Amino acid sequence: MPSDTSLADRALDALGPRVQAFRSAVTTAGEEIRAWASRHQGVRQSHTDVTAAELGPFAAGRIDPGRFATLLVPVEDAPAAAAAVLERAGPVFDDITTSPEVHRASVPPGGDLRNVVKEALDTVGRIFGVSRAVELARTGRWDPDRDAELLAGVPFRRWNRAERRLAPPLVVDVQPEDLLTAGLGEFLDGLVTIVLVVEGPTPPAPLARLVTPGTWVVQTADPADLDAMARSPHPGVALLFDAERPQQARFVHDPDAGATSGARLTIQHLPDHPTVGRGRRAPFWVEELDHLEALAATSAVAAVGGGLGPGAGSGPGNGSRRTGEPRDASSGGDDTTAPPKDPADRLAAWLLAQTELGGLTPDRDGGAAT
Amino acid sequence: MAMKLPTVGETPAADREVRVRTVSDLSVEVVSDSGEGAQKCGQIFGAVSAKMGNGVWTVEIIPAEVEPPPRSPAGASGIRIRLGDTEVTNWGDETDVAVAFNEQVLLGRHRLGGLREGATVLLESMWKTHPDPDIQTQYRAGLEELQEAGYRIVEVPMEEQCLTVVDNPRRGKNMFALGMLSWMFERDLDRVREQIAQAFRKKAAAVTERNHRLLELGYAWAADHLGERWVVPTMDEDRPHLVMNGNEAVALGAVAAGLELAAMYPITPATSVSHMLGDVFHRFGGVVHQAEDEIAAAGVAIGASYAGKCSFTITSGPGMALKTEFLGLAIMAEIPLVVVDVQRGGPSTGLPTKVEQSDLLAALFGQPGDAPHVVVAPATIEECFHVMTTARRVAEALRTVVIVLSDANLATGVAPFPRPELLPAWQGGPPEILPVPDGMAPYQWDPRTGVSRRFLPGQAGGEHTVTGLAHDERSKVAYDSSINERASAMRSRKLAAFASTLLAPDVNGDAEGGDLLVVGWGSTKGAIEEAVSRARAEGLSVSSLHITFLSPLPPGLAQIFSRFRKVMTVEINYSDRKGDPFVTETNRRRGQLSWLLRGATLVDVDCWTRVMGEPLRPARIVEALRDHMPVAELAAAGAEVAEL
Repeated sequence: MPSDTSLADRALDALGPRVQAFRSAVTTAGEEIRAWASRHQGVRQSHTDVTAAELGPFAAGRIDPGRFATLLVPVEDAPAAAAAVLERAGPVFDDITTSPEVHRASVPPGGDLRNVVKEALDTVGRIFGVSRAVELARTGRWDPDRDAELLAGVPFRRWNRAERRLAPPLVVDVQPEDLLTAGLGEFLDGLVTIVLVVEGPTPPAPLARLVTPGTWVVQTADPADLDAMARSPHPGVALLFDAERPQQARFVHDPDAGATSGARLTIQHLPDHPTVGRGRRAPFWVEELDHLEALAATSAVAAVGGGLGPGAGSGPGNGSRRTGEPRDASSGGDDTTAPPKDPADRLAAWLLAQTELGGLTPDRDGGAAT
Repeated sequence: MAMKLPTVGETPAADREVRVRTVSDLSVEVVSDSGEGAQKCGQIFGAVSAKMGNGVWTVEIIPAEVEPPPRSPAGASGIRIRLGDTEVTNWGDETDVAVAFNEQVLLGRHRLGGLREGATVLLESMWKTHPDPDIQTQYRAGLEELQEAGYRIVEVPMEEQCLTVVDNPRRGKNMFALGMLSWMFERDLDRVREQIAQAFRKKAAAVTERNHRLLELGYAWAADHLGERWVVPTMDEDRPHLVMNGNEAVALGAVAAGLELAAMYPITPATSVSHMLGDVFHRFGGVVHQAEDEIAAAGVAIGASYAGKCSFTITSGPGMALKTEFLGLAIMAEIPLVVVDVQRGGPSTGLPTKVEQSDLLAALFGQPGDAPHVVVAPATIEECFHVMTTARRVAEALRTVVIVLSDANLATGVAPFPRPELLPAWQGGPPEILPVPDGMAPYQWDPRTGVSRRFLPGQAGGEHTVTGLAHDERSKVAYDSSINERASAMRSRKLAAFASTLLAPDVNGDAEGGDLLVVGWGSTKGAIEEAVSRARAEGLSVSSLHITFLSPLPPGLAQIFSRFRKVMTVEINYSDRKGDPFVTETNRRRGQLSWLLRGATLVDVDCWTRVMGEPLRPARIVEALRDHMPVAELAAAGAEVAEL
């Protein structure tokens, strides 16, 4: 049974700016595709009317649109293969723009939370797939044999950085028994934002294991606490309870709040240890709670790293730092590796951390190994 | 003589009469030291008045320095709000009602002729009992000068009143003043509260609450103590309106036009375009890039445009000078670019906060070498919004630079205009990136129009070297001298072709002809047309014409001019006056449009220009029209002959 829909709706409201940004981008892209298609598929209005509209009201009475149209470079018809792609792309844009499922999902009882999130993101991946297909078609590089699979969508693991930053927020109804969050880590990239809405008692700190330096993490019973996450330039995951319960931890991890996990974490409520640990996965619960406490206890340590700025090297794959241990921003996220001492090496390491290879560590042969 | 009011707390006289006057047109000024919020007060008052259905035009009074010395006549910072029962198109002549936070800034306005004789002045009275005896002396002397000028002065204990709500009245006196004005002009307090909340939406809720209390305090004080109210009838307007200033209109117009990147470097009075864009652009996929300097800003915009984005750069006169070389590159490489120049007084640092129309010739001819491009000047705040769509389309269609000449009057002036019904077509389509047909060159100029297809980096078959060197169709460097001749002809032909699409401008008044035709451009349109209307009411045979496209000029000007006995431009730039020492007909430096029109039409176009650091006043233009009527000039010439 799904959770309280009003709570999920309120969560979605709080994520409004990101929903709006996604819908706006998709709508704009859809309109651009239609405009391009109409120019290139012979669906042309009177040249004068189109030109008058494109010149806008300021030109009315000042520029003769008919004469202006004669100055324009003629537009060629699109190749047939490109036209076919455009024809298939339009409905996908309409579908994604209007479908509420893009922002909502539900884990069936006994279902797999990770799979549900993955499928929801894969649905969104249809937009990115057809967008790539349209781009290939518009540039005359569309090869049906090679590229046809794009029209079925692009799975999350193949989304590029821009697509990950455009990802719409996702609100997922999930039952307490199915709240296994460890598998969500791989999705927390770009601006991916996942809100888990749960009815009933849950483990105390299931999201503690998802706390990484560049990820916004929040456990709360108040949807208003999601506002800041929706505005942040980081991926985020939230656990939204239907009520405040003593055994559920409430905390916020704000990546921009400081250089140490202690500075970034704000714990509003921490359950007493005796109240937990009696469930079937009691050790995990305790581990998560201990982990949260350890993160919060990390003393403020001056950030080292040549002033490369907060958040440098942060992001998925970087791992969390050890308690009380200073972290060099140039370390590319591998806290167990001593930071390079030479300034040039540090800069090179930092630059590497900004690329797709940021999560990789050079092996002894100079190759890349995860 | 100063009107003596009961001190606060005393019961006003029971028989106090409140005089209510209904007027069709009235101006209000709020002036203070810098940082006291007079402009915010006036902006809110103007916005509420517009929303209630008044015609409104506001002009900000900004000192040249960021923080001039306090209590100095030259440091007056404030705003004039002109209200009308119909559309208001300019800031008018003198002010009828002024609120001043000290007597020195008021003296500044008085000495510039900003206040109407008999104007009502609400003056902060705290200086009368200031601990510094010098200030007390200044206050008494200032009051005497103001009283002699015939103003109706009401001393108001603003500081004392505001201290009942806030610790620092410097941050709140403006809301008290807003309260007084709201009572005097019967503004809807709920609307004022809403507008305050909107204005301070980025501040803590407590700030808005405190401002509401100050507003109500000012309103109540005025209701208890003032004896004059004004009614400016409102218009019945069903169509929703927007209220904004010209820079905000440029910014939102850029969004509506589908522009994607604004590159700029802060410069008064253009910067607020980027502030507005900074608030909203990202929501529409746009990027505001603040570059390290003006030159870099132009370079970024050109680079983005070269890569296929729709981009523009924003600046003012000194920034235009710095961008000159890059604009030449865009013209030579035929990279579309929109440049917004919000003109201010100059040259050099000049009058950064004051209006002038002195960049016209620089915008037209400022590039070394032959660099044909389009120059267009919006005349109203509504046009500041819509011009961006046209500028973008023309720049892309012609592959050239379009300079949009706004100015400080439009930039900070606020006026309502009908809410635009946005069309997706304004945003045009994405740039063409289908493979280039075999053999097509990157500058395959149509010999008839000079227009060629725009190539984008990465476009299959479109590989070429882009260069600012003279080049041929294939973008190869021109070693053969005839190539430069041909390329220059093609770039120039685009302008001629575009000119062929322009329509002749309408004449305001008698299209058939008359004694005098006044020609203007840019933000002076409202003041000129109001002046012409008044002059015509006096029986003078005067008409006006406003030019929007300045490069290329619209067709038919010479024919229109030929129907009038005399043609004269009215502009906010410098010109020598006839009879000045050493000035002859030959060496006389004229208004910039006048110079342009004389060359283009071979008509002896005269000019009347002023550079007073303020918008033109209709009454002054009317005086100039009277003086420049052909008959008046003949009479003056006759008198000179008689004297001889």
